[in-house]
Amino acid sequence: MREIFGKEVVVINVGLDLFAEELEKATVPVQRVAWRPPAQGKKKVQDLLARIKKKKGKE
Amino acid sequence: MPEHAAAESGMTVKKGLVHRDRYYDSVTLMRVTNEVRSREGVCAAVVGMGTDFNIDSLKRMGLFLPEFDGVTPNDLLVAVEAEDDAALETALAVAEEEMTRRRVISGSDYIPPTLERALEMNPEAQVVLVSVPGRYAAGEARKALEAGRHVMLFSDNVSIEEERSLKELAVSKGLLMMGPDCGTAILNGVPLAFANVVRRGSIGVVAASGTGLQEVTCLIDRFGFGISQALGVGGRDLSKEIGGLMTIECVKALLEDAATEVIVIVSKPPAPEAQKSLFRELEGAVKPIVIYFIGADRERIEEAGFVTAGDLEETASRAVEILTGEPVGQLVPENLAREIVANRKLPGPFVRGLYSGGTFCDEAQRKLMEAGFDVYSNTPAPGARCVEDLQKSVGHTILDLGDDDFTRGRAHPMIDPAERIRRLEVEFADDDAGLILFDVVLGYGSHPDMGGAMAAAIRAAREKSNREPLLFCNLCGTESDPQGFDKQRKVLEEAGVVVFPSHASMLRTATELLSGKNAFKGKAADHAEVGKE
Repeated sequence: MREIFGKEVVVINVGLDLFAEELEKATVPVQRVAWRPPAQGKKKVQDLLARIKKKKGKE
Repeated sequence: MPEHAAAESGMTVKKGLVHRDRYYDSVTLMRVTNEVRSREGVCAAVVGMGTDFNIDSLKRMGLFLPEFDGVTPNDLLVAVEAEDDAALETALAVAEEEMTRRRVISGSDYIPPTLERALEMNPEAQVVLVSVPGRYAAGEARKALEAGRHVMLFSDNVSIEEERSLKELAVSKGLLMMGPDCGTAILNGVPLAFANVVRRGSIGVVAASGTGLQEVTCLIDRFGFGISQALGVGGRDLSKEIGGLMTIECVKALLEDAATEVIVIVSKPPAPEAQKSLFRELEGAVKPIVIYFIGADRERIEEAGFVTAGDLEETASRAVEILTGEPVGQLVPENLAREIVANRKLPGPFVRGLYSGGTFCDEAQRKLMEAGFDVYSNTPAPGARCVEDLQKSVGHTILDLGDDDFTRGRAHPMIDPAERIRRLEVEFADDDAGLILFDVVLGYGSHPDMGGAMAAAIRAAREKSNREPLLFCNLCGTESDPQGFDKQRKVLEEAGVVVFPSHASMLRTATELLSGKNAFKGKAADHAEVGKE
């Protein structure tokens, strides 16, 4: 945490675009993300993907 | 190809569109909706995802058209009711234009569709600001932490177990995990989410309250001093379950930070175990620490070796006093407060508070109760009563309009004044309302001209109701904020509002006014009898 104090702040914004707009106004380097709910919001698919990811992580 | 249906209903025409391939965040959609609603001839409009909440709204408004049957939260719905076909088509075109405009944000630059991709593309981006819907928020925050980045988590509706797990991960990696429900931070002078432009300096702030952080940093700036870092930890950090994990980490980091000379901590009173942990970790701290635990026993905190304060203004004053060695006087001292109230008449016995900042709402209730008044609120502080009807003030009512009760499906009152303006009109027309208090919070993220919006609403309400309740406003901001403190102050004063530079000074003056004049100071149960004598 100490490492970030004093360094230039570069932000990745994921969610409300308002915040990316405001950071740009403040001339802060910001990377937008065109985020949308994973698996088009279908919970069953999301849960399945999460299980696969978890399993892969264990291998 | 969008499906649509048109239906005629008496004098108006309605049309609905379903887009299966589009997603926009909630604030963007509200802005598009507002833009469409503002057009000539439009009676009603909704542009939103097919969530249960939006579907209910559509049904209530008579806009749940046949084509919307079977839509899911992944579908984007456009529903418009207009006076005639021409207005209808224009409104739909406007909706389309607004949505297209907001898609092409960085010209031809590639915008990655996932956080994973963004992290890969930007190894130098050390901070990730997450504000996706609660369901997905913890997952996104975790990805960022696992990639070694600091996180500011604006989203709420994250479980306390997830919060604990995220913070433990962050602490193990020496990373910031600000939130969940963290709306404000200033990191290396960079305002994140809702934050003000304040001088850089040597006072470091750690806060479990967004507006608390904003007020303290703005007042430190007003006193001529500056901020090294202002870190938000989220409202639950000092709960029993989280135990002050992130507060402790942040304070430790500031203790080691060469640029920080004085540290300030702001929070509602911690759970006893969290306070114990915090005090244990900070024992023998090498730098002075000012602690404002809202409403807590100051003696206990002083005994533990900390400097304390009784309100947000005093918190800033005491931090500055440590640096200068000189006492800092109150903004709006007693004699000035008395001057301000001297020739003002209260046209009704009660005070009504319309707040966008939760901490201000809380502080107002406490100060009024300290002065002997019975208070109602939707977020009652200990000793205050809960309003029974959210839509109807009773006695002295102090409302947090940013609370879930009022913001479900709407933008926060710091971004969108519509709900507060509506309530202002109601209070203006209420013969019981003698004094109306409200906050205007400036800075990034906030409305570009809240002062102007409130001023216009006040003029309209005054004319409509033919009443003149007194108006006090605490303006939280700096001259360097995008809205400009002075400009906002002027536009409010021109509308007959008395503007205060701090919340505490407004409350001191308000209680001075209420104590001296024909305000009601009896038991809440008796208030119904007021005016009947």
